[in-house]
Parts: sequence; structure tokens; C-alpha cells
Amino acid sequence: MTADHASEIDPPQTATSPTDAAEWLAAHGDALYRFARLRLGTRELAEDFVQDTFLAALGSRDRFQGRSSTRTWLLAILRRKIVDHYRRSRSVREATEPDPTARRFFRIDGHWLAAPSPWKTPPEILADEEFRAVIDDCLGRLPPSLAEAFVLREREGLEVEAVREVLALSAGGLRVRLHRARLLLRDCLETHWFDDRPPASPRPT
Amino acid sequence: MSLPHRLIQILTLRCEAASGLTSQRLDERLPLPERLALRGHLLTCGACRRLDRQLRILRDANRLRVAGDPAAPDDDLSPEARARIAHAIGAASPEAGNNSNGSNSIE
Repeated sequence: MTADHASEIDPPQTATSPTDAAEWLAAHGDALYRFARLRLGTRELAEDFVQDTFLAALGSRDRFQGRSSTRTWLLAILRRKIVDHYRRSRSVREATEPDPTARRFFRIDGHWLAAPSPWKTPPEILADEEFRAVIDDCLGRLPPSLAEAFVLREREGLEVEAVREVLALSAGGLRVRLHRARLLLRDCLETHWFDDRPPASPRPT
Repeated sequence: MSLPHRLIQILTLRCEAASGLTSQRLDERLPLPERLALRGHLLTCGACRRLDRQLRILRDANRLRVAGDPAAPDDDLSPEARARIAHAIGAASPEAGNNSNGSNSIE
């Protein structure tokens, strides 16, 4: 991720400098914003949280050991701020969320309740704007704890170790979330895209 | 879990557990027994093969999404927000009182 910054070999303890943060903003601002937007909904709130994240990062720059990538570190700061925000405004704990996939896709004996239907997927589908809009919509219906795991892994392309660090999850915990998120998204896409498609030949009007 | 128990579990892999491994495989290399069990299951189970294919489509669609999607400008910080944040960073830095503030333009 920062591999192309060949010149950026930090001395162990650099003094906090505004240049750091300016570079962070250029390199990671969009990724932080997308994550904030996903979790917070409105643009304004997301922008505020991104700003707060950079300010907090500046303040704790000397505690950053460089064990993880800068982006992972910044995402983890942002995510903690979001968790705090929800803790203050609601009393719901994410950890107590019930499993939204429980007995929804599989019978008690482990067989499919309703097997996936075939999808007609021409390669162009990936670039189809409407298809992407449906994906976004489906993502919005996921419980936040599943959506954030999915987005960091599949959209931002973080390695699992980095996702675990940002979300403070065990290996098993992340595995379960990604599995549930994928099953739910697949199901939602099937319902809202593939089942709704008009038949190949235009319908007579 | 004891080894025999685990082996039996793997040999009798059902769709639900197979779907978990299918998902896991997208993130990490599976241990050998799981890998073999999943391969065997997929050979005989069309529904789970379909799931496997569809989860990959889901991945491809999402990976493409972030790779600079002009159709979704909302995915990125607006130039205004970027400028505002750059300004706040400059103002908050203790040693920012000097000239380093003269150009806080970041494209």
C-alpha cells in the first residue's frame, strides 16, 4: 500500500509534523471517508469524523510503531471513534446482535433451505451502474458489523489481518462475519437483481 | 476437538459448513483436510458450486467499485472537504505557526 513511497523511511520517532498528516490525507482520505460514510450515513458527519481521525492521529503519531500499514492504523482510529459515537448515542451493543443468517439459508441438518439460483452474468454486468446500485443498496441493509467487515475486505481490499486489526476481531470472529455478510449479500442480490430482471425478449406491451 | 472427530466432520461436510469454507477460502489458504473436503463436496454439489461462483462475482464487482469509479463521485472526499480538513490539520499542528502553512493545497 505504501510500498511505492521508497523515500519514506521514517526515523523511529519523527516529531509530529503537519506534513505527515497532509500526506495521510492525500493517500488515505478517500478510504477513510468511504468507511465513515458507510457507518455514519451522512456526508457531513463522515467528513467530520475523517477530520477528527487525522487530528487524533497527529496527536498519537509517536505511538504508531509502524507494525501495521498507515492506512490500517488510521482506519482503526476512525473505527474507534465511530464505536464511541454510537456508544454515547445508543445503548445497543453490537456484540449482542443475533445471527441474521440463522436458519435462513440452511436447514438444521446443514442442507440448503433454498439453493442459490443460477445467475445470468455477462462480463459487462460488473460495470453496470444499476447492478452496482443494487449492491450498494444491499450493503446498506446489512447489519453494520457485517457491512464494515465486508467492505474493508472486499471493497477496500485489505488483508484479513488488517481487517481484524481495524475491527478488533479474532480470526474466528472475522471469518463468521464475512461468511454471514456474503450469504446475505448474495441472497439480496438474487432477490433484487437476478429475480427482477426482465425476460431476455422484451415483454409485449 | 479430537482428530477422529474432526475427520468425520470433514468427511461428512454439509452445505452449511461447505459454504463457510467457501467464504474462508476467499480470505486465506485452507488447511489441507478442509481443502480436500471442500473440493470433494463441490464435485458433487451443484448448489455449492454456484455459491462459490457467485461469491467471486460479488468480490469482483466490489473490487471494481473502489478502483476509481467515475459513476460514484460520492465515494470520495469532495475537494471542499479535503481543503477544509487540510486546513484543520495545519491549524492543529503545534509547530504550524511558521510558513509551512503558506501552501496547504493538496490535490
